[in-house]
Amino acid sequence: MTLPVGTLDQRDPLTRWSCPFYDTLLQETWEDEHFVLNPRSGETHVLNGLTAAILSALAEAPISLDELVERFGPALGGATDEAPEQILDTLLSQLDQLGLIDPALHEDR
Amino acid sequence: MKIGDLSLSRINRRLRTGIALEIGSLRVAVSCNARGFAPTFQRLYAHTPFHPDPNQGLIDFPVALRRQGGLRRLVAPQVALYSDQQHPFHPFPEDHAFPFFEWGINWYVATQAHQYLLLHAAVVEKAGKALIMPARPGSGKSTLCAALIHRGWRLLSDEFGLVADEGRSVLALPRPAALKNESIEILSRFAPEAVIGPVFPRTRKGAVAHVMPPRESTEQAGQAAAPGWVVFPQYKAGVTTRLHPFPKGRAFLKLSGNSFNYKLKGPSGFRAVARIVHASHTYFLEFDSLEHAAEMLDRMVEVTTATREE
Repeated sequence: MTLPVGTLDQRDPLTRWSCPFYDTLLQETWEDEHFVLNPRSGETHVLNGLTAAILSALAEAPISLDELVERFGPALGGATDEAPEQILDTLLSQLDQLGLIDPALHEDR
Repeated sequence: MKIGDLSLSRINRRLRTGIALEIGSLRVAVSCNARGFAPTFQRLYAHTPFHPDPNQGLIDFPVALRRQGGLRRLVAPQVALYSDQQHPFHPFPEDHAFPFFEWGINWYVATQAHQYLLLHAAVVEKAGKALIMPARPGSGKSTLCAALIHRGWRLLSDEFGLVADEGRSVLALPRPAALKNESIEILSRFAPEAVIGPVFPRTRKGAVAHVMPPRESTEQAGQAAAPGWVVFPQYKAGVTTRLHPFPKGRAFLKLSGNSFNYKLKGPSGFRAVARIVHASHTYFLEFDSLEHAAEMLDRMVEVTTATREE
C-alpha cells in the first residue's frame, strides 16, 4: 500500500517515535515508580523504570522500534517468554494510546 | 461576634433573614426556618464567628433550609435545601434539619471549593504540622479524628483536607465532626468531656450525632499548617493496633485518588499531592482501640519530630 505524502504508517518498523512535549510532563519518582502527569490529557500514569528511561530517550531524539530493541532489549533480560521486539512494540503502542509519544516520519520518506 | 453570644430567640430571628457563618477560610451564608434547628446550631457552633448581614462582603456559598408547604407539612413536615437556585437533594424530615445542613455544606465544599485541592480526609494539627488522614467511609476516620481532638490535637477538618499553596499548607475548616452509630457511644466513653449534640436516629447513614470542635480549634481557625504526616487509618475489630511505614509512591496514588478534584486541578493538583508526599512521613494505621491509636500517633510525632530536628 502506498501512503499519501504526509501520512504515517504507525506499524511500520521504520517509523520513528518521539516525545516532543517531554518538558511539559510533570514527573515524580518514588521507589522506582515514575508518576507522570500528561497535561495534554489530564491523566496521571505510573511507569516502571525501563518505560521512564525509554520515554526520556524518545525525548532526546526520535527512535525506531528496531533501534529501541537494540538499546533496551538487553535490559528486558528474558524476563518473559515474549521477544523484546514484541514487548517494546506493545509498549510503544500503549504510550501512543496514552498520548505520551508521537510517531515521526522516518528519514527515507 | 460568635454564635454562642446570642440568645436562642435572637438566633432564630437571625436565621430567618440569614447570617454569614465564618468557618475558617470559608464564609457561608446560612438561613433556616426549620423548627428545632437553632438549639443544636447554637450549641455546636457556639465558638464560630459570624456576621449578621450575609450581604456584607463576599461569601463562598449560600445554604438555605426552608420548610416545605402543602398538606404534607401537617403529618410529616420536611425541609428542602437551596443554594443559588439549586436544589441538589430531596427534602429531609424537618427534625433532621441539622444533619441535612451539615451534609449540605459538605456537598457545596466538595463541588464548589475548587480554589483548593480537596482531599477526603480528616486533618488535625500538632507541633505546627498537619496530620492528614485520608480514608473511605467506614474506616473510622471521623471517630479517630474526634478522639484526637480530645487528646491535644487541633482540629483542622473532620471531612476535608483543604490544601492551599500547591501543597504547602492545609487550611482549617473546624466544623462539628459527624459520628455514626456505635461510634457515638465509643467516643463518649473515650472522651466524656466531649460536647456531643443530639442523636438523629434513622438518617440515611443510620444514627448520627455531631461533636463540637474544641474552643481552641475554632479560635485558631485562621492558622494553616504545613503537611507533616499522612496516615491512612483503618479500623478493624480485633486487630492489634499498629502503625507501619507506607511507601511514598503508593501514598501519592492513594492521596490523588482520594481527592475530590485532583484531575480538575491539573498540574497544580499533581504538584500539590507530590509536595505533600515529599514533606510528610507516610504511614498506614490499623487500629482497634482509640486509646492505642492516639498513643501511637503521639509517639509518631515524637520520633519524627526528633528526626526532623537532627
